[in-house]
Amino acid sequence: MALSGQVSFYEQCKNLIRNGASVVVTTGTDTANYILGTNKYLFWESVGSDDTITEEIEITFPIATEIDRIFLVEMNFKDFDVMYDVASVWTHFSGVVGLDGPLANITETVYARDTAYYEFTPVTTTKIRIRANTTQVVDAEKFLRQFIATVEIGTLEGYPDVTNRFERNARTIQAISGKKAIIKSYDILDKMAIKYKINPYQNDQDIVERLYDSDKPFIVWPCGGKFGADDGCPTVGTWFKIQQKGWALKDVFQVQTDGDLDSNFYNNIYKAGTEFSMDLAESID
Amino acid sequence: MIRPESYQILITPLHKRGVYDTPLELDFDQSDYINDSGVGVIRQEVDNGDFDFGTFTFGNIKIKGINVDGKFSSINDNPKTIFRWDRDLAKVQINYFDGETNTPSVRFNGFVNEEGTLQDFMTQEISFDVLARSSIFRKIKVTGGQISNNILFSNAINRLLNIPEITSILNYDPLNINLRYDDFLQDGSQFDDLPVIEALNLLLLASNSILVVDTNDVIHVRSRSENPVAHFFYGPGDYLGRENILSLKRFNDGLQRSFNSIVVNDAAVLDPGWIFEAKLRQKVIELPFITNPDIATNVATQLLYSFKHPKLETEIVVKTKDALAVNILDSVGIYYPKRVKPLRGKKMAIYGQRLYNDPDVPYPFTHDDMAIPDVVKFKVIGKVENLKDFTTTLKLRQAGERNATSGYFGYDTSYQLMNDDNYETMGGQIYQLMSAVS
Repeated sequence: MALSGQVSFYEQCKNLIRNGASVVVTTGTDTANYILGTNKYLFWESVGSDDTITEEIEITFPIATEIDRIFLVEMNFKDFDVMYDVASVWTHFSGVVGLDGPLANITETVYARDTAYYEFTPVTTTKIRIRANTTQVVDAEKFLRQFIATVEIGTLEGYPDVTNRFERNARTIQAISGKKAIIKSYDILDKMAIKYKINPYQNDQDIVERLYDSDKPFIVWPCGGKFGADDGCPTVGTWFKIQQKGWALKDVFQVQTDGDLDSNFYNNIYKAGTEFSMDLAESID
Repeated sequence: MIRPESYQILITPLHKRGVYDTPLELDFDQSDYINDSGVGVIRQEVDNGDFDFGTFTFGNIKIKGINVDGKFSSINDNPKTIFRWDRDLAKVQINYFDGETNTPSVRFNGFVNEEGTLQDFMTQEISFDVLARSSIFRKIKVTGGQISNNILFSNAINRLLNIPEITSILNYDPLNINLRYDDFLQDGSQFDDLPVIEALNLLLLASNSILVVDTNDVIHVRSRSENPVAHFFYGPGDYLGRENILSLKRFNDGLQRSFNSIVVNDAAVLDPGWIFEAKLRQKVIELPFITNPDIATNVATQLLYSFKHPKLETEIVVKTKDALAVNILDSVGIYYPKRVKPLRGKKMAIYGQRLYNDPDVPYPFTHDDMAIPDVVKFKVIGKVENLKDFTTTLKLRQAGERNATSGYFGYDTSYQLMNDDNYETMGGQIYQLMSAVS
């Protein structure tokens, strides 16, 4: 499906270290595994690199895996490429669509955002290679928080009400003085409520029911590829008036449905579209 | 179609005295008629609570049946019942489906104990006590002369277990009797007329061994040593996001279960070093079947070896799916680092990646009061499987005995326990994180 900017869903990341994926890097070996994890605070970072040095990241899947989407979440690469392995030959992806539109393959020379996303003709492979040549700030150490290779479940066609709630998993204890000890912990997407008042799209109904049936967690990308904010008068090329948490390109969450699926026809009129709501929550597995 | 994650309860009634109906799964699956708030937990433990050491427990469970149509009534009360002969001793099997295959895992085998059956006329529910098959040990007594004088402990245990009342219910093989310490008892008459379970407890204590009945109903008598197969669980601060520990509680240094002086009959042994460290903690045991003071001393010495060193203990709650392959006495590693969070907009300070005083990587925030490194080797001393929320509590004690340096993976004494802010381990290699700024 072409990049439309609606809320998008993907299967669980295929290259998690907990499921047997592995990674080899040119430098920064101590932090390489973070690329295959889900910790939001830890990054792979090169050591002693600059814009004259190419850093290679080679990711191996636990088994030959079909993919049609990749994310590079929170990184600073300016000039880079991504290829996949075909019988030990590094091969370009085809049918590529990036955030700015169609591309011949995944090769960037002046990339300026903190997260990259690409759709492409599905391939089955055991390895992916990223070559990062230069950084957006000249001669900076290269870094990448997470690489996600996956398969799309679907992208909503409509625009449901989406309500995000984040929490710091805080524990509040009242001390004898009356003051409170508020102990904050990791930031998580506690709830993403998706509500359709009148859904006219079979596609969206099918996606939501598939997610509800899923026993495995999946990925949600609330912004769906939308980016850019202008709190003055939103200009062409910006999607938002104000950029906020949960709606940035880097906000990619592993979630699961939490609770029931309300599934009805609007005012019980069978021809009027469906009315449903579903809650998602960030999940561990 | 794959059956979702769920439990299945099969009840096989008696057809006539001593003869069970042939089990056909669809006919005997009573899962639709069991109240989900009326199912207890499946408990298996090798020690007596938190403050003592013992031999074994394979717990019984309660189930509550929805009896609106008389399905679980006595044959005398309602002809629609499935119990056409007698409810007592009907077999109960609990299976677990993990949601990924249709092959069930047997979690519990037992039989209905009619003594504990209660019927509620208002709610039309009937609750059963279901005894684990190992509870047969409670229902048989030792006959006079069954245990001779001057035989080995292992021989005595063999005579207790290798009888038709037990072998008709449980699987017994003398090759599965491997005591930690074997020696001669002198007075076998001390066991006469005791319930078999009491006799077993005494012999297991004397031999510093435990008895485990696995889910295939096979009896194993063995030492408390941990099995080499190891399972690893990860806390919320795991750097690679492998978190699968839902909760960790009751962490303690194990002092309450350590004894630095053991008295068996009148033979006392003690460890002066540990008495100095931890003050006197004495356990007195009466084993009347041992009258030889040297053997009593040896028994006391063996128990002292195992219990003089306090060993860390804790409980972790994990998804049952993750604990399915974990058996009693399996080794377990826990990687539970402190949760660290860099300052907003900054990177994490990693030893070997950055220089001290680099302004781009200030010290991170750390949460949690302590951490557990994965080099500590625990063993499973209890499993409590909750059928309602698909979680299992693993009760863990640090492995090893005889000395303070065992109980670590790799048995490397250079590792130290995590009560120091500056050291964490990751994959066996020690990293020094910058000290926390909170």
